Amino acid sequence: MDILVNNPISHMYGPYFLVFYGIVIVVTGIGCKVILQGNGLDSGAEMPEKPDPYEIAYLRDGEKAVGKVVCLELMQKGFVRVKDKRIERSPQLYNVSSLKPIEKTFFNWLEHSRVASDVKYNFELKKGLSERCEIYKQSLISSGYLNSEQKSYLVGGVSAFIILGLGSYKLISAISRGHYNVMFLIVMAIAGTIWIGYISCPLYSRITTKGKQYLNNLKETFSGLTGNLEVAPTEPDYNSSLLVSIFDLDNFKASGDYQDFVDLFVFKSTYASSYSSNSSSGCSTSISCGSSCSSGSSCGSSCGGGCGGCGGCGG
Amino acid sequence: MNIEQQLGIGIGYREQFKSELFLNKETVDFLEIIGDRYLDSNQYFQEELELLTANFPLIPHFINLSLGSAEGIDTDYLKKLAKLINKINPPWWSEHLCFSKAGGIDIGHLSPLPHTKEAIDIICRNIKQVQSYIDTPLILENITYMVEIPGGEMTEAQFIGEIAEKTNCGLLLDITNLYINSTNHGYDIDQFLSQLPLERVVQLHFVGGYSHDGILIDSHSEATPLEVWQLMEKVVSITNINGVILERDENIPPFTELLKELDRARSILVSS
Ligand SMILES: [Fe+2]
Repeated sequence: MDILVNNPISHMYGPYFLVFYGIVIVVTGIGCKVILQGNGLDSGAEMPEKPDPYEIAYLRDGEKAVGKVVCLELMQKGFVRVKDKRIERSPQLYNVSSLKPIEKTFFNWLEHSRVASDVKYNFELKKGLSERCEIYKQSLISSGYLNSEQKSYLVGGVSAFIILGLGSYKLISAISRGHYNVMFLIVMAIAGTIWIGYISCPLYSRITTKGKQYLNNLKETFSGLTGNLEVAPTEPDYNSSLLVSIFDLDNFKASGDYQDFVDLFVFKSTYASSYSSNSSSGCSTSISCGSSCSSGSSCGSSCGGGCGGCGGCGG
Repeated sequence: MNIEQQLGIGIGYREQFKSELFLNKETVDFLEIIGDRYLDSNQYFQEELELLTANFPLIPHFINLSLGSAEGIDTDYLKKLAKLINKINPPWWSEHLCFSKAGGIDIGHLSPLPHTKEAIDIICRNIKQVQSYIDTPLILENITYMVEIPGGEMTEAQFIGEIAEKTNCGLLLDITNLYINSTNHGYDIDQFLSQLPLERVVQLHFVGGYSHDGILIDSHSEATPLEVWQLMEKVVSITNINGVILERDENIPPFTELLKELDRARSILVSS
């Protein structure tokens, strides 16, 4: 037991300990972040051939985003319509057994008409979708794109224990020796714990660096894709669902019933969408967004140094 | 020169169909990329390269090495090219049998060489220099030409064959270019093939061009014509081919049309 009382840490001169403690806090925080976010070396560049829109939507923004994609799919299948700014079941006969479980959950929830914010925030729908999304969640966790809440809590808990444990030990040790100038120690312990809480909180640490890179790659890869929501499709348009899952509905080109659907969800986030479309990727989230290439490379993508079509380029 | 790897049927990567390409990635065995696009450290292109590398086998195809330039190879360009090939680590890479720089000036297109011993010496010297930087096998592509350079001492096939033998290079036989040249310059394709070291042919290019005043133009802008399909059948029946690339650059149709051409090429390759 003597080691608990007599050891380098308990004897360390106060200011030196604070420096040491600061280093421990920073190293623990970085370690916590690396464990939860990954080291960024795996770029998440491998694409599945037909990415599942529900899975992508879940990765991007959880059940809220999935709800919109499910709603769109059900509209395209003729089960759901938008009328007077509300979402409701279409007045027709439907074969519910043809729906996927997640679509059935949404359809059953739509017993009476709903407004757009219900799709995003209704607890009952969120709970139902959450159960159906478990399969996507597990797949995304095993691919290294998502962290489970348990992992975030565990890593955050262990990190906080290290910081608080070391700080508390030194605090008790100092007070037992009659040193009461411990304010800096307490402030550092609290600040360090808050920082760890921020890094490891599931809301912040939900998507890993690899997952963020994967979403960026999806945006980059499918920025040139065009959907088909300007006329009523006879069957679900995979491209449209994929685009909504990746880019959300901002600047989505649609007409008729689909325009009503887009307006429902986009109306309140006009400021947010215009802000986000001015940032980062150089490509807005429009369904018809073209190439974001703006390089001055000497070689375009055509044959023989951009001479395709000149005739006789020889390549 | 011994290349074992069979890559199958692929397409020349063009950004215009990137999205559709990824949605159909299982039906495209490999991609040919224009290597010049990725030589500089432009972040957008480097990220694109990373994405393509993670999803497809890649063959880099270059257009500006100018193997036929009498003044030699631009070593700065060559070093960048070697670095890129090292990074991609492909089973082979390709360039054209032509010159595209003269007196240090980029002339902007692929120009034919005279079919002479002197031209062979120059190009072999340049290729040896390139091979001293890059171990990955180089394959050489036949180009189209509007005018045959006078003073030729041999046929085009003999010219290509002798260079390939002397430098131990493979060949990228552009069957569309062969069809266009044979039509525009009135030579016999069978004779051309009989003079070519066919065992050195590693890869094929195919696409369609258009006709202007009775002259075929290599525009890479049309569906592959019947004559080129027939030529593909002939070539794959007489020699082993490691990879076939559809080289569509202009007037790009819906991707499903391109997939149909790839399917047709695949069925020809499989039935050979
Ligand atoms: Fe070619």
